[in-house]
Parts: sequence; structure tokens; C-alpha cells
Amino acid sequence: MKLIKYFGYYLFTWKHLIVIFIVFGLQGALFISSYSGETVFHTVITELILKFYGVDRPGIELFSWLLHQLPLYALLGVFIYQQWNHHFIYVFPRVETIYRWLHAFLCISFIFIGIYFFVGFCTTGVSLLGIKKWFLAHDQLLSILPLFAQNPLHMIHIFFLMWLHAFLLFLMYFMIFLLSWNLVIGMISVIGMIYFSVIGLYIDFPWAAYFPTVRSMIKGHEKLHLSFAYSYLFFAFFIVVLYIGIRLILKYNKDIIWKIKNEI
Amino acid sequence: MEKIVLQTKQLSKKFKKNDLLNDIQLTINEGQIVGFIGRNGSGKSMLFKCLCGFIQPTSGKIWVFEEEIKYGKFPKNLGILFDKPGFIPHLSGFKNLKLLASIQNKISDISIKQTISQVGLNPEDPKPVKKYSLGMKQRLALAQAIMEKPKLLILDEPMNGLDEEGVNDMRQLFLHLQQEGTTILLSSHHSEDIQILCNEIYKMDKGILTKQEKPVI
Repeated sequence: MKLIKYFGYYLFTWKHLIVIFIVFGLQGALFISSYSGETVFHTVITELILKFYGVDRPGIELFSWLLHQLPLYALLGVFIYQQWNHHFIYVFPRVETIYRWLHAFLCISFIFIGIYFFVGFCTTGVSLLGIKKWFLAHDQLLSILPLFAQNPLHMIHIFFLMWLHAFLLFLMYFMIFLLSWNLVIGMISVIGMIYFSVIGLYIDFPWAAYFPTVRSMIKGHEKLHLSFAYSYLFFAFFIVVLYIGIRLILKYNKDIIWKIKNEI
Repeated sequence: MEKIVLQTKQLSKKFKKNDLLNDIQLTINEGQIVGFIGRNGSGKSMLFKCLCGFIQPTSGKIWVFEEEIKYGKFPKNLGILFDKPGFIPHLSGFKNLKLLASIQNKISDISIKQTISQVGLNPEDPKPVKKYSLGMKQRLALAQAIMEKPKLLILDEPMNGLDEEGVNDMRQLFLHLQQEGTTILLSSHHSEDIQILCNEIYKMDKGILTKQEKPVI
């Protein structure tokens, strides 16, 4: 618990909070700018569901989708780098085993990702509310909304699915970093995973249902008729698989703590 | 009979075709200050990293306080200082040490403040660590190494970045710690530090460790 608190002081800073406000505030503003005269919706929840509904085609929609995800991986990437390259040196002798460090590191990352999306969704909601006041409050046309967006419960599914999805990709990112010692390769892999998932959905790739990003989007569930319960199990299973993979890397890669090749 | 704090047997580290450490046999008794000299890249830091459990030796064994050190399991009762930035930059020196100390929860805030004063810094200084000079960071790094009063200190180039006054302060501090029973392993480019402080001196050259006679000053 003390170690989690130590990591928390690094991650939970005003600077990081401001990044979240800007990223998600911008999302709300971009969404409102795409309003036409006919599409002013009733509630912020409905609007949030539509905003984070998911994408199934490349282009500006995919760019917008990446816009709120990439800053998270950038922040976590810097966190991985700082902890693994610099901070470990004074922390490891105080924790006795590397696995104790790993568990605290993964716990705080999981919490940070959850808070990132929670604060982010609230920020988008507030920005939607605030900016909408400038628009005409005429009757919305509920009939044009997809059926999924009419159920407020889906906001909860969006939140938890995005949280688990981001944590899964973070584990992948960390694992690639441990293997390559290169954050850029990790970041490219994460972007590639999101990009190919969306392309898979777009071209009706038969195995698209097995792409994590597809499982994190309501649009993916709607298009491929996936069950939410199965998606939660999917994430739980692959999170455990990646965790075991990371443990095995730490166990068998004997030169991982201090990169010797950089010193010769 | 003197108590053995640290011991290595046939410790070797190879990386690709390089012999970084070659059959190191070392026995360090309690309360000694042991100096390691050698050129850059001779293997001093590599040896220290192996002793701390940061690098797995290719062969050989290490015992610290009679406990065998294995990769990924770090020695207890050990304070370390390496030339790497390890602090949270936006927090003050005191806050950084308080957070590190809270992991083991062995010492109080008063004790942390005393240690910060002991290394010549102001514990009440609210300035974030990112605004510290190199010498101040080095002093803070030393404070984190000694604050929990470990029985063994491994200090890699502890005088780096310190001015003359700082070097003298540190020498006094190390001698004081020795009197309290702390065993100190230190490497330094300054032969004067080694000769003034150390009871035993080892020279590292291309991964081979040899004991040196201590010159009479």
C-alpha cells in the first residue's frame, strides 16, 4: 500500500490532470462542432454514449478515437520509463523482491487508467453541457439515435470496457518495453493494435471479435452481435495471460533490471 | 572474531564476449570502509550492481549478512547510492525521502529531517528536487542511502558533484558512520578520498579485482 502511494505521487499530479481536462474538453468541443441543426440530443449521457460509441472506419473518426487514448499511453509510457530507468534504484532495495514492486506498479496503473476515463468522461460531459447552452435547445430527434444509445446503462459498459481495454494495452506496452527497452516500439504497437482492430471491423475481418479494441466499443458489440459478459471475460483472460508473460520475462531475463548493453 | 558482512565466491559476469567481472573473491568485515579504485569501465560499478541484486552474475555466489543474494531479491539492511536520478522531480527533498521511507515505515519524520541536516541540506526547504544543483542532489541521494541506518552502504562515486566543503563534510560523515558500526563500500576517482577513509583498498582492472597495500600518508 505504501508503495502504491509512492507511485501515486508521481502519477497524480496537476499537470496530468490538466492533460486529461484538455484532451477530453477538446473531445466535447469537437463533438459539438459536428452538430447539425437536427441533432441536438436530450441528455448528456446520451451524448456521451454517442461520443464514445466507437468507430468502424478509418479517417477522421479513428483519429478522434485515438485523440483521447494516445495521451493516456504517452503518460503511462513516461511513467514506465521513469520508474524502470531511474526511480527503481532507490525503491528496489526497500521492497526486497521485484514482484512486490510489480504488483504495486500494476495496481497504481490500473487505478490511474480508471481515474483517467472517469475524469475524462466528466470533463467531456461538462464541456458538452457548457457549449450546448450556446445552441438552440429545440426538440431532439430521438428516433434517429441508434438503439444502443438510448440505454443509459451502456455508459457504464463503455466506462468499464474502455478501462479494461486500456489496462490490457498498457500491459502489452509494458511487456514490449521489457523486451525491447524502447517506448516508441511499445507505443507503435498500441496504435497498431487500435488501428488494425478498427480496420478489422471495417472490412468485416472474420476474427475481428478477437481484437481487444473491438471488444471495448459499443459499435463493435452492435455490429458483431457480441455479448458484454463475454467481453469482460475476454479482457480478464488476456490481462491474466499478459501478467503471467510479464512475470516470466522478469524471471527468465536475467539482465533486465539494469541494462548492461548500454554501459559497454 | 570479526563478523562477515559481505562475501562473494568466484563471482563472474560475462556479457557477449566481454568479461565484465572475473572470478571475484571478496570478504568484507563489519565496520570497515572498503575502497574500490579503477578506471572508468573497469567493472567497479558492475560489481556494486551485482552486490545490490540489480545484475545477475553469470556464475558465483554473493552473501550479504549471511543471506544469499539471488536475482530479483534485494539485500536487506542495505543503503545504496548510484549515479542515477531517482527522485520525483516536482516534490521537495524531504517529501521524496518521506515517501521512500514510508515503503518500509522504519523511521519517523524527525529522523528524516535529522538525516537531511546531517548531509548539509535544509529539511524545511520547499524547493522541488528538479531545482536542486548537482551537489544538492548528490547530498540528498546520500541522505536516502543512510536515513534508515542500514548496516551496509554501497556508494558508487559518492563525491561526484560535491565542492571541496561538501567532500570534507562527507568524509566526516563516513567516518562517523563507521564509528557507529556501519560497513561502507565506496568507489571514487579521487585517490585522496580512498586513502583517507578506507581500511582496505581494492583495485579493479578489466574485471579483475586485486587487493592493494594501503600507502602510509
